[in-house]
Amino acid sequence: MTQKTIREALNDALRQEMRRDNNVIILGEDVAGGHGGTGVIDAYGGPLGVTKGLIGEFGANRVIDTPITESAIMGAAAGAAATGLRPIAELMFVDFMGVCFDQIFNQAAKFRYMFGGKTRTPMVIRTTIGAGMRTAAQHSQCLYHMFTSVPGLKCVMPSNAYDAKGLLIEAIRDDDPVIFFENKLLYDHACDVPDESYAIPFGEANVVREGRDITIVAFSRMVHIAEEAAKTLASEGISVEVIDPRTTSPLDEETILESVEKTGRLVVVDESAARCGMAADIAGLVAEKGFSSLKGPIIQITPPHTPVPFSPPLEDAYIPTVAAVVAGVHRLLKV
Amino acid sequence: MTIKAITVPKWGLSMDEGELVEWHISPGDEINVGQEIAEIETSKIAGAVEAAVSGKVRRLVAEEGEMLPVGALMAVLADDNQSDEAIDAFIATFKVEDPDDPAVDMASKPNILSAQVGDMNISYLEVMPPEPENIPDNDQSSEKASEKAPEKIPVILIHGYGGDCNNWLFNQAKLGETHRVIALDLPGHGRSTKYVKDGSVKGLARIVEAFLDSLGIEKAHLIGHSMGAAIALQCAVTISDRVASLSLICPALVGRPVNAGYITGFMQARTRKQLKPVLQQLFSDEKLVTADLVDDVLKYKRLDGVDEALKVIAAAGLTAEKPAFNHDDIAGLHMPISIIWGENDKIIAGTGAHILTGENIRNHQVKDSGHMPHMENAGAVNEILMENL
Repeated sequence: MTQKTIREALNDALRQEMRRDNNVIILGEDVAGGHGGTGVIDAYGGPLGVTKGLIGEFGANRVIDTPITESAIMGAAAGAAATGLRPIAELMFVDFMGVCFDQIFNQAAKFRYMFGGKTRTPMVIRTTIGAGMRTAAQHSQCLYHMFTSVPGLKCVMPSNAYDAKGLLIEAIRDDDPVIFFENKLLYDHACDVPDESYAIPFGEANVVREGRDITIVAFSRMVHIAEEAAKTLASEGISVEVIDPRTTSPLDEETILESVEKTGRLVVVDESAARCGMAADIAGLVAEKGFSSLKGPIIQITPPHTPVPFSPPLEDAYIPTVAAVVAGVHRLLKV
Repeated sequence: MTIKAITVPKWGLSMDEGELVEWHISPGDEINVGQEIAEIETSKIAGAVEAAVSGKVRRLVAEEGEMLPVGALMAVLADDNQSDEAIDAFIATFKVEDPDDPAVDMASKPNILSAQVGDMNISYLEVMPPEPENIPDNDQSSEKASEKAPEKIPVILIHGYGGDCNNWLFNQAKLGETHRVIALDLPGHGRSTKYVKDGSVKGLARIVEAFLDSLGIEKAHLIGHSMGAAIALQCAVTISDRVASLSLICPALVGRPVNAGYITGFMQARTRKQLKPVLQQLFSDEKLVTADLVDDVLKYKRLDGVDEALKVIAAAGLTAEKPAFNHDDIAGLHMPISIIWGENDKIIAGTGAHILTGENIRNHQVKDSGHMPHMENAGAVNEILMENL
């Protein structure tokens, strides 16, 4: 099988779905051109190169460069979806979503409910998340927890290239609005990815690693941090199960609860937020529905409740690390 | 006798390491080629390591519980006139060959190839027997082999419903020591086109025949498993003179009913949790179904077109109660035919299959295995398969 990066896997998914269905269109800032090009013929392909080459094959009617107006991108996408197209809107940083909340939270997410179930809104919003790029407080947040809390939205955050392709194809084929969160530091992460099209259903967690002593639930790039920690802990004789929910809405509660039932211990590693984030959400779930299996407190490994610092040493201290996860497990096991 | 190495085998394309679970031999034992000497577990499957050479075990290098790369030194064989120092030196200088290095053992390396059959692309995994001059001359059995010209008639392996060429990971290399062995992916399966026009056994047999044509293969030994066995049998009935021998492992549609619940469960499973209990029915030992094995099957099932292909095949009579063949079909076959049944088969169970009798037909029952005897008890099955070639 071919090794592909997440960037290539996403490009694969977009290209194959655009070939399969003429209703699939892309709109966003620089998706056709980007820096280094005229914007008319292909250049960089979006700020992160994911849409590179698509305008050459599908033309400017289906790969649409927009002005820098985030609210218009989302409004246009929601309207296009409600009237029969399958738009994929790209917003280069999730941090800019603030100006699009009405279009996303109050319009796209609610169409199906407000129109008696008669309207479908098959739109995808692709956006990037994550600290570690030295891009400061306004370009580094991990805001998937906010979208997860809004009913009517589906939230997807792949951790590897195989999942990225299959989940994006599923997102494009889904009839509800899907927010697709891509971690900026993972774009070059590669693994075996089939050339053929495939869809991964939402709401099924991936058990990345099986273990007996402790369950770690982690999201997006934190899955890799958890895996590294699991390797370190394995060398100490501690057997760790790592679960990647892949989607936070819908959430595969069953896999998490079954794992905690087996291990009796839970650590959640989440870059979203120290307060009201996904870690708190998973901790709440297990405290309520898995309490009798727990042998110790639930440990949440998150950034501190502060904006992402611009100072590189502070930014590094902000993001959950392998050492922090290992220390959390040690604290839980009292070793 | 020179000093000989026993190394970690490579099972299937994706294996690059395995855990030594248990040794079945001790220093001082005399072992023979083909003897099961250890148990190795990969992330996908556990299996027995068969000795590729014979001699006296002088040293067990690998320890139980140790994770070993493919090609790593497991044990050293030598007779008593080799000193301990010589054994030490052999171990110290032993170099693990990189299985992906193109310079290594080109002849027996499996290659993924494909053939255009009508509007379909049929993928296959091919193993060629080593050239006679490449056979190491320090072993009795290979001395015999080197005197013989390599076999001209290739072996074709046909997997079952929902399977692929990798189902033969414990068999293809073994058969490949003497024969050119081709494991194909049926349409709708593996790397082949995910589109099936005619999903009946007759329709799929026509694809196999066209596949032989496109590779220019005049005559072949056919080995099939389950639905693949029914396809092989159908080929033998329609192109009898092109089939040198027939080995049918747990054949479908010859009188024992196919467990329709398995077929439906396999078709409908969308998640790991749904698929695992379905796959466990395939084996006598359910522990063989690892998370990675389930993942691999799920990854296959998620590919566009697979759902539809599996439906088309299942709907074309795979679970029919009546055999697809009659006595006259079988009576017209004159090639040697081996039938292999798994003792605890939960997919094709029962005692039927009375049509499969005749002077040229031998029935075998393989113990410790369910519907996948060629994986669960590969040693016994390989012996039967090789005998029939």
